[in-house]
Amino acid sequence: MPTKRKRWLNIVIPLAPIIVFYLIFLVYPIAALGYHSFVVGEGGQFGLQNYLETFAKAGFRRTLGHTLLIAGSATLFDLLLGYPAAYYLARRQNWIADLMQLSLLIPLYGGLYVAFAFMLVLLPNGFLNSVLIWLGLIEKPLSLLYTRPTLIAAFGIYGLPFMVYPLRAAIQGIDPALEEAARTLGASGWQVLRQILLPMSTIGVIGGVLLNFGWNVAIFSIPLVLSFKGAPFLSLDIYFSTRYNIRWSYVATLSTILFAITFGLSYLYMTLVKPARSNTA
Amino acid sequence: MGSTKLNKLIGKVIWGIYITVLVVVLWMIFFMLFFHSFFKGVTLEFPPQGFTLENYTSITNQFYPALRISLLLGLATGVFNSILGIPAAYALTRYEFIGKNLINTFLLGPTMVPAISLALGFLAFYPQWGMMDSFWGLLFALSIVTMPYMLRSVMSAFNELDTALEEAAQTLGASRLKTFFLITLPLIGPGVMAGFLLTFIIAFNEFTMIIFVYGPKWLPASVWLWNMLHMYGITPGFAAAVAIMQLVSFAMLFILVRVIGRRYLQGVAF
Amino acid sequence: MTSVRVENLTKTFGKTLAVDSVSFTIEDGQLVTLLGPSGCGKSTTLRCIAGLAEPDSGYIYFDDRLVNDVPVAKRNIGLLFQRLALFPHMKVFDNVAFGLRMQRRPKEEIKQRVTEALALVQMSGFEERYPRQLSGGQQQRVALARTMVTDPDILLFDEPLSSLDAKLRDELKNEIRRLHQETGKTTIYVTHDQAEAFAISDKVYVMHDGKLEQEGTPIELYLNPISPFVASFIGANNFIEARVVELNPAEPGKLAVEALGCRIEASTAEQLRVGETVTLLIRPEDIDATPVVAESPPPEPNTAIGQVKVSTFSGSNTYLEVAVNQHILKVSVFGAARFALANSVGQAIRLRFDRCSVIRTGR
Repeated sequence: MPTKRKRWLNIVIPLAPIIVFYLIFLVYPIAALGYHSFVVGEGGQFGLQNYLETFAKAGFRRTLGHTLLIAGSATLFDLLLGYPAAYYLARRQNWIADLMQLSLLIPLYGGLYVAFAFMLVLLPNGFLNSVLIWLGLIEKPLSLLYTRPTLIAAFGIYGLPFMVYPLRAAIQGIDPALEEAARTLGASGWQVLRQILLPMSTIGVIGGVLLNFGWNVAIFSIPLVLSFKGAPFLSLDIYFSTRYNIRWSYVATLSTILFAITFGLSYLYMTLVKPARSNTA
Repeated sequence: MGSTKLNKLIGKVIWGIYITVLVVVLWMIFFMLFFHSFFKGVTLEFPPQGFTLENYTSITNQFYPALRISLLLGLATGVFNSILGIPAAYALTRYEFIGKNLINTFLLGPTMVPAISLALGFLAFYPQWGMMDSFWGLLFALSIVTMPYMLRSVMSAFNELDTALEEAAQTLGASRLKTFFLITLPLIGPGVMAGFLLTFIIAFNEFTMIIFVYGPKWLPASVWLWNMLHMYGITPGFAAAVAIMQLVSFAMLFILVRVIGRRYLQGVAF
Repeated sequence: MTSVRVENLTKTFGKTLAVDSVSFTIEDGQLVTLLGPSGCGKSTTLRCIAGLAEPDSGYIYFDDRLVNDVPVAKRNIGLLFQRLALFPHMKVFDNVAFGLRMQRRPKEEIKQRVTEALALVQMSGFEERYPRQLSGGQQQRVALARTMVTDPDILLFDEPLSSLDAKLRDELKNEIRRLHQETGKTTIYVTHDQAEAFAISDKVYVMHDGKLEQEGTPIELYLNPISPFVASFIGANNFIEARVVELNPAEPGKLAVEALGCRIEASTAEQLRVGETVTLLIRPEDIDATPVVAESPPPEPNTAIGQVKVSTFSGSNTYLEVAVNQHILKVSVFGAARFALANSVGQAIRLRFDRCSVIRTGR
């Protein structure tokens, strides 16, 4: 029937431009880099050489380890900081909740701004030190800026929305009547948290952790501004490797490793967490 | 009992402290630099020598070209995303076909890919394609990372649109095309607007995606800020530029929330 | 003025056979209702006729013109939806004018016809309002005006009253009937509400599981349902196991059966044999109930004695459940007798059966 072909055209024509766009500007770059990461030596053969070499380097292992360390610490930080916020947003509909939502969007503008703000506060001649000196509590400025805790805090603030929103969705899925029932049975706030909320929001917690961690591992702007000697990052390594003579097989390897981590975590999220909560977009 | 009243009060106080700290810390990201932009002087120091508006005018020559580029790119990306995204969202919400879920997930793909890796990929091919330091080069880079937000917004709008309205128009003699322009498009307008604004905000501020492919001719504001920081450190002038960027973003967010509705914020991250 | 003929219409959704080879003909000017429970295929059939759904097989003719491949916009139909479907971003005037604008009518003609249409549905003066400012009933009237103003050949109604409250439903039902009488357009109406169908239709098609079970006038369907489904869907019914005891060769439609421990005279459309087990249908409102006073008179045909188990007075009638011979019969008592029987639980009661019909069991 002619209309069956017409229907097919109605589907293909609107989708074709965007899919072509994605193929050129998403699939091709990533795939090409992946391809190059497997090209070994001059002769164009394939192999895992690049990966083996890269992982063999102690410097790389340190970089990877440090990246994962900061990312993981920031995720933990966000989990502790963000769970109460998620709970509040899930259960309350007042102006405070609105204000919180608006506030949570601020870091989303860019990691650069988060980093700049941290600099402004923690530089030797920055806000914090100036105030402390002015109050007479210290004499010399504290060097708080280029430290690991600062990195973790900056990562944490930048990635907070990625933790709070999945958590909130998970908590919304828990019937508030359950908490009330627990209360009438004598449970204290802590017990409600431990016995009811946490077990039932486990999927949401896993989801938030996956998204947040995947996000943290790939952050570039904050390390660019706030990292220091002894604080290497995978994303920074990729960037610096392009400054001079680019060794494509090496940098492609780094990039693909980072991609694998982030994509793997996203994939886990898509398959494990999203189907379990069918009311997410 | 007295102890439960006390417990409740303690609970309220703890919540109050927690929320205050959280909100204050998040707003500091904005306010620190905003306050600093009004300080007199050319270096970072507390307390300031005085307050002034000069910083906003003194950076005009240097910053405004970059600001203009970012504004242009933000708008252009919004338009481009709308052109590609609206038909795609239509096909994805109105039809059932094999592979639909796959394509759906695929189109949300950019959120699963690290920006620096994708940016590196662009660095690999833009020179060959002649797109280094070009308008289109930057546009495509910004578009690919913001497209999922446009898609989500518009798809949500389509889903809320009752198909009966489109069917009614057809029974009244409107062709498919007429139905789309007279009925569908006006009614998904808010969703499109939301996607547009989100796209703008992200593209306007984006840094990582363009870090490899910008150039002297096309230097967006985010890169300008990074360069300034590198060369001069934090100064009130720098703070003014940052404040402008953030104020523009706030304005767009305000429009988004006020005019279109709070619920579109739900879809921001996911 | 157009007739509609449907031949062997079939439509499947995924694994479900929604419409199973349905055929019927609607004469020009008739108001016909497709009646049935949800999922019986009535809406799907209507949508195929409208052109909003594509049949898997079968043919649809408007006035002997095959319309299978004609797109919706060109079929010149009017469709009133269950869910209103007024364009929220347009004023009432623009909503009603829409179809005329699609036909590119001149502005003066549009203004005139829209004003007339709104007057027809008693919504004059609402031109500048937006749909969200109107009540449900008002919106449905505007939708009605919008449907009629383009002077379509065929009118289609897809359960338009189900989202309204009872009073509005009555009002609009009468409105639709009145409009049909005035305009004489061929109309196809879809509903699950049997009373609604009966109130407005010339003819009713009862659908079940994608098939057309029975077609007829309201009275025909009421008196002679041909299957248990139709019998229970049209009004209420008592289903009683019975055995044929006597056939009347002179009057083939009349017979006598044994049921409830007595002899009952009934009518049937089936060809039956003596001794066959059949199902006897007795309508609750066709059972005459009187309290048993003195001694029992001799048993007459179509009479039985039973005991009241449930009695509910609801104003216009009294509903009884009476135990007769191991059956529980539903009885609706109208008229003066309903007061006497309002609280009659436990009483002995004499029932007389009228207008009983017989169908084959398990069809």
